Amino acid sequence: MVKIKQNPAIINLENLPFLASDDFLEKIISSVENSGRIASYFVYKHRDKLNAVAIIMFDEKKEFEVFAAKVNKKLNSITPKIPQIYNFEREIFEQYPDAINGDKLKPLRFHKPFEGKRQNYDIGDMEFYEIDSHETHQVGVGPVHAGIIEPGHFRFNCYGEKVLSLEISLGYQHRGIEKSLIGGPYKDSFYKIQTASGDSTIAHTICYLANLENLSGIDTETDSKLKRMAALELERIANHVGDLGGLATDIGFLPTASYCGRIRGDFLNMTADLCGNRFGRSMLEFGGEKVEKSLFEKIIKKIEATRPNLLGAIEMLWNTPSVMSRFDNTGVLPKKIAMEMGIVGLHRRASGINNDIRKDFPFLLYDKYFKEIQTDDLNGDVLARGLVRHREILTSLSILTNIANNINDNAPKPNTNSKLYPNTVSISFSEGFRGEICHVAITDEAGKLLRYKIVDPSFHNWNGLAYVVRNEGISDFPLCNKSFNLSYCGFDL
Amino acid sequence: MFNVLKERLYQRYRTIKFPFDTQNMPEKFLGLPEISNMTKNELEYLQQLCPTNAFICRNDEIGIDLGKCIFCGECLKHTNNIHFSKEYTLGTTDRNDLIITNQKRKIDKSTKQFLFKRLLKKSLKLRQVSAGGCNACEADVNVLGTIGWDLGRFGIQFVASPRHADGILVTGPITKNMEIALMKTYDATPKPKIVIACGACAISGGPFFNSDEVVGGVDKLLEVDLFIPGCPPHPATILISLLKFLGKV
Repeated sequence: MVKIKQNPAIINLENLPFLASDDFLEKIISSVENSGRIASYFVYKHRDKLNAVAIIMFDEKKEFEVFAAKVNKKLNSITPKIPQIYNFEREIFEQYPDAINGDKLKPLRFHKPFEGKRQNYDIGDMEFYEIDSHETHQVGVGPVHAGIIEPGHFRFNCYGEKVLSLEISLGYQHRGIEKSLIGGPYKDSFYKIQTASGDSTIAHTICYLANLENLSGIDTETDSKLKRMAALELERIANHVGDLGGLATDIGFLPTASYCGRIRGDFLNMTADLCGNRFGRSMLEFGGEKVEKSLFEKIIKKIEATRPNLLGAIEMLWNTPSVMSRFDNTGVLPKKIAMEMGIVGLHRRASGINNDIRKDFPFLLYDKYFKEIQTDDLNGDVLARGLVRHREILTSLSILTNIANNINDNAPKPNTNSKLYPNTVSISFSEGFRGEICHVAITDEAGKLLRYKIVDPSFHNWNGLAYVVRNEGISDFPLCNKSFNLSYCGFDL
Repeated sequence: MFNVLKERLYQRYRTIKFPFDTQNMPEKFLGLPEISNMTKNELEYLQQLCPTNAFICRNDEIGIDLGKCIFCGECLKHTNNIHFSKEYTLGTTDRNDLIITNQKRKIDKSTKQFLFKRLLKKSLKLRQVSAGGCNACEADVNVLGTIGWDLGRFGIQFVASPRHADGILVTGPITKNMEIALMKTYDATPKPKIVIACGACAISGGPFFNSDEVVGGVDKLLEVDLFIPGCPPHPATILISLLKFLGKV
């Protein structure tokens, strides 16, 4: 087996272990049972043959395994044995229906398959879980929600005001990003990746560039690594501040809601100071970026000026008893369930599991600058997800201050070599503000992309949201939803 | 309670004066472009380079289509004949005005005499529809509601139901999967109603203009009354476009 510790990693396609279909599935099951977690599981087509690839993370051992299988006969669904593979199987059945026995799997994004034929579904056309009873009722929400947010459909089964189950049907945002990358990279691929999930632009771009640079044999300079880290931490702070403001809005605690809304804007504007765009579009460049040192110094001054406002606004939450009583023990995701569902990122940490790509599989220069976030006292409720965000903001602020002093004005050499290594797999992870982002690139004989697979943290975590609202009042759904703040478009791709 | 009041005093009044000077925009902000003497060869080169095919040549006039442009700045690295100013007023009521050529350098800022302008003079209620957006446009529309921008003081408000709205503001390239939902939302909005396309995706499909999974542009389905270019448009661009549209600026 290929066991890998570095991130990003590169493997020759010849060295990728290919197992027989049954052994492949057995291997996934045994790995997950031995404290593994599925980071990515997908199918690609090479010379008219379908191949399946699985990437299993072993967070404790700080390594991950990659193995593949030739799909000679259809793979079986193993969801009953390991629930966390559910979404991956639904996705494979949707993209390559010939690869998996998936007639019982519900559609995920309702699009036409990449290859092969499948029953045609209209969007939202699926059999939702139903309860045959006169005493329960269904509540349907969406796809167009009441606020300014992305579309998705939620179907609740309720007994009075108590939620018995929630089923989430997404796919409304499906823009065909993954399919459009096959055969590339094209001139617009980079810009499509940037819009994979708008609020995680930097995190996704870091992964994409890591893969492309890896496949071109380019090693980025320390300076670029620092700049990318600074951009990522700015993005993280902005989003976490916005989320804490959102939590306050949803329980009607207006002081924090309004201050955080404004302060989030301050941080977005800092990103705009670096590159002109509030979301960091086109800030990162292949081979390294040219952002002046002076800009980072300017930003640090702005951060110092904003810090007391920021911390004051957030700490008010934890000092207000009525806020705490709403957050405490609402929407609990126990540690055991989080493990079983393969939850990632801040939601995993909020359940008391201290896994973080920045710590376990450091990318850029995180091994030098990142100190782990304390999670022992967290029990997976809304409060825990709020506290994790607060702690991450503090860590990010100190990382930013540390980095800014070390950034220099080294202009990167222009790189014109855009030819990628042939027959190679490149895997890169980054820790976006929601959690683990995994990008896998596979090239063919000509160095064109056979497959580019993106897994956004939302892909793992939406089922977590469906879990935590069980047995809660339906009125607590907005609060639980906001505490997760998952990406619709990152899921739909 | 005491802490809340103390914090309120500390945080002070922070609503920004608007409209503001272009100097208040970020140093590297890419706003209204200007094209100077560009040759045909250069144009062809830039056409190959531009990820969204925003460069066009019409009647021998070289132009850049702001409806397609995602302001990525890729062209700036290869030519000196384009300059992006910090002018953030980019919204227009006519799709053709978004094409900036070397002859006509300014976006037509005069608002089309809007049929319901007098009706909407005091207030405008909009329903936002995200139709495949990457949530950056949504975030920058949302930010207008914060105390910094305070959209409410201009009489503009985003409402929860299309039945309470004077029109819809659409973001995203309109995925095939959102087409029905968008049309249903539009139909549920009482007449007379307006349609606003916000962001490169909503105007032309943006980076997804060539994808099979999207319709690509609101104007393929509905008549659009206001186009707001950008990827995503800066909140200042969105707000000034709305204000000009209402004749308030």
